[in-house]
Amino acid sequence: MQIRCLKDVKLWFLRKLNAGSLNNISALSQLLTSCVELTVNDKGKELFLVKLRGSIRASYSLPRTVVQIFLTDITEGIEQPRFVADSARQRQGGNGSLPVFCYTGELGRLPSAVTVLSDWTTVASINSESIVLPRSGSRLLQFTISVLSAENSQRIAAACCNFNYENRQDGYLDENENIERAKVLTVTLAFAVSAADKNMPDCEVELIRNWARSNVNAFDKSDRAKRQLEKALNRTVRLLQDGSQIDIAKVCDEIVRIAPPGMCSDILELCFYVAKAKGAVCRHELEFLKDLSLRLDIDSEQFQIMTEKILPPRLYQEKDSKFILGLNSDMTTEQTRKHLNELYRRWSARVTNFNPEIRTQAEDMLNFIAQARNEYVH
Amino acid sequence: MIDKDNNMQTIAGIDLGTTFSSLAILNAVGKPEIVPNADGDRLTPSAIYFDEENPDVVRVGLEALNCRYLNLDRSVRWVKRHMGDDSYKLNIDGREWTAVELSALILKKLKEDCSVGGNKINDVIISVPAHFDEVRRKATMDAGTLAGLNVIGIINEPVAAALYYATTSTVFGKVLVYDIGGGTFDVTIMDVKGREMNIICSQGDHQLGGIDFDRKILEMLENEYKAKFGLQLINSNEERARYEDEAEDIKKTLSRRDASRNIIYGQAGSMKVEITRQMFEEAVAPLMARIDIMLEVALEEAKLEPSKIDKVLLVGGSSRMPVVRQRLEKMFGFPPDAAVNVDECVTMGAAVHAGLTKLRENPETVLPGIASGLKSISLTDVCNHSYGTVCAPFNEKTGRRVIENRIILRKNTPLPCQVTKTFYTVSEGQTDLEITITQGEDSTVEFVNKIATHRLKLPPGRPAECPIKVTYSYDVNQRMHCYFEDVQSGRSLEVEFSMDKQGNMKLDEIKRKAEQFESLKIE
Repeated sequence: MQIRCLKDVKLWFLRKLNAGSLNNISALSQLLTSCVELTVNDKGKELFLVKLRGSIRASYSLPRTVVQIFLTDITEGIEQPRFVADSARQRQGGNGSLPVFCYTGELGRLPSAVTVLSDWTTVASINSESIVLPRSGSRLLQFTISVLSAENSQRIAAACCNFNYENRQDGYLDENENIERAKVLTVTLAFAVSAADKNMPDCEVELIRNWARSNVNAFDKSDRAKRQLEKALNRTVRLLQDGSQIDIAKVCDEIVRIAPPGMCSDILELCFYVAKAKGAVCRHELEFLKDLSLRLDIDSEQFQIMTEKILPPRLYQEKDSKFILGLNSDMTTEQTRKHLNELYRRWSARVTNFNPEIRTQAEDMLNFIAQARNEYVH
Repeated sequence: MIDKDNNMQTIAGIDLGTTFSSLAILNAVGKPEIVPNADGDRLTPSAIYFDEENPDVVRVGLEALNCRYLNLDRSVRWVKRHMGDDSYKLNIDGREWTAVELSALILKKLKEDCSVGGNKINDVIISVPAHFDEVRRKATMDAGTLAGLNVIGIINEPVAAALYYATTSTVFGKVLVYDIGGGTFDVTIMDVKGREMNIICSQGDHQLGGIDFDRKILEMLENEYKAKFGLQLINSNEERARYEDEAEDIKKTLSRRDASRNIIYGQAGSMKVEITRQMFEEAVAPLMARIDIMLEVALEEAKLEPSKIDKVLLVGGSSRMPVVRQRLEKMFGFPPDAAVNVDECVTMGAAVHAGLTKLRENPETVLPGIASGLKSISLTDVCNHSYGTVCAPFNEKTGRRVIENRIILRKNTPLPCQVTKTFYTVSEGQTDLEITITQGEDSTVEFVNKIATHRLKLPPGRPAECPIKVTYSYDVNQRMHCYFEDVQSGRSLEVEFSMDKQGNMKLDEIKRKAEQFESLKIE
C-alpha cells in the first residue's frame, strides 16, 4: 500500500496492527512499559534506544519473537498525528510516495511463558537517519512497540511512549513546501535564460509556461489556482520584456538552499531546453548557462554531459571550435593536446551510435577537434 | 580437402575493402597466395554496376568502375561505409539493395573468380576494420553468408596485416600497425615475439581514408575553377564521378612527384591547374591532425611512449602518401616499415587466420602441409569495444536514482575473458528485471548502443536490493556470452551473441536470400 495522505496512514496503521484495535495495545501495555533514550554512537550517529520493562505473557511457551516499532509525530496533538517516513525505503521506491517507517527486529526466544523484564532492556536501536519526520524543530514522537510471535505474527505484548526530539533535518512537509517554492524560482530562472539574449521568443516562453502549468502547484487543480498561475506568468513575462532584471545570484542561492539536491540539475536541464527551443543558441546564452551551473552547484562533468545531450554544436550560432571544445587561452599546448585527445577518445566511441543525430554530432565534434589540434597544437 | 565433386576445399581470407577487395588462399604448405580475379588483377575494385540493358547481370569490379559514368544512379562504390546502417538503401528497378546485399555481390564476385582456377572456396575469414562494432561485424558476416561462403570468423584488418607480417619476417617488440585504407583508418599496437602476437589495443576512425584525401583535392579543384571563372566546376553527378577519379589520380601523382599539373574542363571553359604537394599537405592537415590524435590516444591506451615502439608497420594504399611517412618518422624517430605489400597484407593475414581457426576448431579437416606451415603461430586478440548494462544506482549527491550505463567488459581486455559484477534490484516487490546489453564507452545511456534487451522474471514478495549476478564473457572466436542470475532464486537468463548466429538476427531471411543470390549472375 502506498501512503499518500494522513487518511491512508491511519488505515495502514490499523491494518498493520492486525488485532484491529488500538485498545488492544493499551490492554497489553498495562503489563509492559517503554521508554526511549537518545544516544550518539562512536561514529557520531544519533540513535534512539528503545527500552522495555515489565512482563511479557505468551499464550504458549517459548515462542520466537520479534519487536515491531511504529513512530508517529504527535506534535500537533494526538488527534492530528502525522506519520514518520522511512528514509531508506523512500530512496528505493523513488516514485514520489513516502513509505511509512516500521522497525522490525529479532527479539529471540522468550525464556518462559511469562517473561519479566525487571530492568529497562534495550530492544531496538533506531538510527535517526533512517526516519524522516514531517517537520524540522522540536517534535513530539510517539513510539508504539509491539512484541510479536515470529511464527504467526500474533501480538504478545505492546507498549507506547512519547519522546521529545529536536529534529535538525528538513521534514517531508518542509521539503514539499521547499519544492513548491523552488518550482516557482525555476520558472523565474527559466525566464531569465529566455531573456538572456535580450529577446524572449514565443517558443521559449511557451515552453516555460507549459512546464509551469504541469509542475507549479501541481496538487491544486482548481480554476482559481490556474488563473493565479497564468496571471503570475503573464506578469513575469511583461516585466522582463519591459527590461526588468532578475537577480540571478539571489534566485540561485535560494534554490541551492531549499531545493533537494537532484532538483538543481532538473532546473538547469529546463534552462538548457529553453535555450534550445528556438533551434539555435548563441555564445552569450551558453555562457549564461555555464554561470547558472556554477551557481546551482552542478559539477562541470554533469554540465558537460547536459551540453552534449541537449545542445549539440550544430545549434551553435558561432562555430568557434575553441569555445565549443572548452579550450581557453590559459591552457599550455600540452594541456590543450591532452584535452583534445580526451575529447577525441570520448567522441570517437560515439561515432557509431545507432541514433543518427548522435552520429552526426560525433562527426561534427571530431572535425572540430581535428581543426583545433591543427590550429593550437604544433 | 576434396569435396564430393572432387573440388579442392580451400581455406581463404578476404579483405572486403572500401575501394578494393581481394582474396587469398592457403597453399599446400600453409602460405597465403592472392588469387587473381577474372581480369587477372590481384585487387578487385569494390564497385558495382547494375546494367540497364542487361538487368539479369550485375557487374562487379573493374568493369563496374568503368561503366559507372553511363548511369551513376545504377552504380555503387564505398558501400563499406554504410555497412550496418539500416537506413541505407539503393533502389534499382524497384528493388532495394542494402549494404549487406551489395557487399555480398562483391564477395560473390571474388568467390566465383577464384573458383575458375578450380579452388572451391568454402571456409573463409573476412577482415573488418578494428573499430567496427558488433552490428557492422555481423553485417559483414551476413554478407559472406549471402554470397554462399561459410564465414568461420572475422579478423581485424590491422591484426591480419600484422599476422602476415610476423609470419614472413622476424619481429620482436612493440609493433604499431598503421592501417589507412580507402575509407577507414585503424591503428593497432601489439607485442610481437616472433610468431607469438599479443594485441594490446586498437583505435579506429570509420570516416577517414583515401577517399577523404581525394575529396580535399576535389575541393581544391573546385575552388581554383570558381576563383578563375566564378562558376561551379561540377554541375552533375557524372561530372562529380569523373573529378573524383581525377582527384584520386592527382593524389597518387603527388605521392611520386612534388606537383601535379592537370587541365580541368567546366562549363565556362578549361583551365590548367597545378597542385603541389605542399598545397595538398596543407589541405589535408585537419585529416592528418585527426590521425595524429588517434595515434596518441592508442599510445595512451597502451601506456606506451612513442619511443617504446620498436616498429611501425604501414598497411593500406593510402599509406603511400609521403606526408604519412614523414609524420610517422617525426613522431617515432625512425622510418615506418612497408616491407610487406600494403595492399595485400590484410588479405594474406586473413587467410592465415582462417587456417589457424580451422586448425583450432576442426584440425582433422586441415591438410598436413597447411597445419605444419601454421604451426607455432599464436595470436591473442582483445575485446574491441566495452560492453555493459543499464542500471539505476542511487546517487548520494543528487539524492535519487540515476539511469546509467555500467561497463562490465572493458575494451582492450585480452581474449578469452570473463567478468562478473553484482547489481541489485531497485524496488520492493520487483518481479521483472529489464536487462539491456550495451556496447560503448560512456556512462550516459544515450551515448551507447543497446545491442540486446531481455526480461528476467523474479519471484514476488521480496525486498529491494536483491543481488543479481551479471557475467559477460568473450571467447577467442569473438563470441560474446552474457549470463544474468538472480542469486536468491537461482533464476537465470543467458544471451549469446555469436558471429555466425546472433540470436534471432533474421537467420531464416539470410538463408532465403542466399538461395536468391545463388542464381544471380555476376560478371
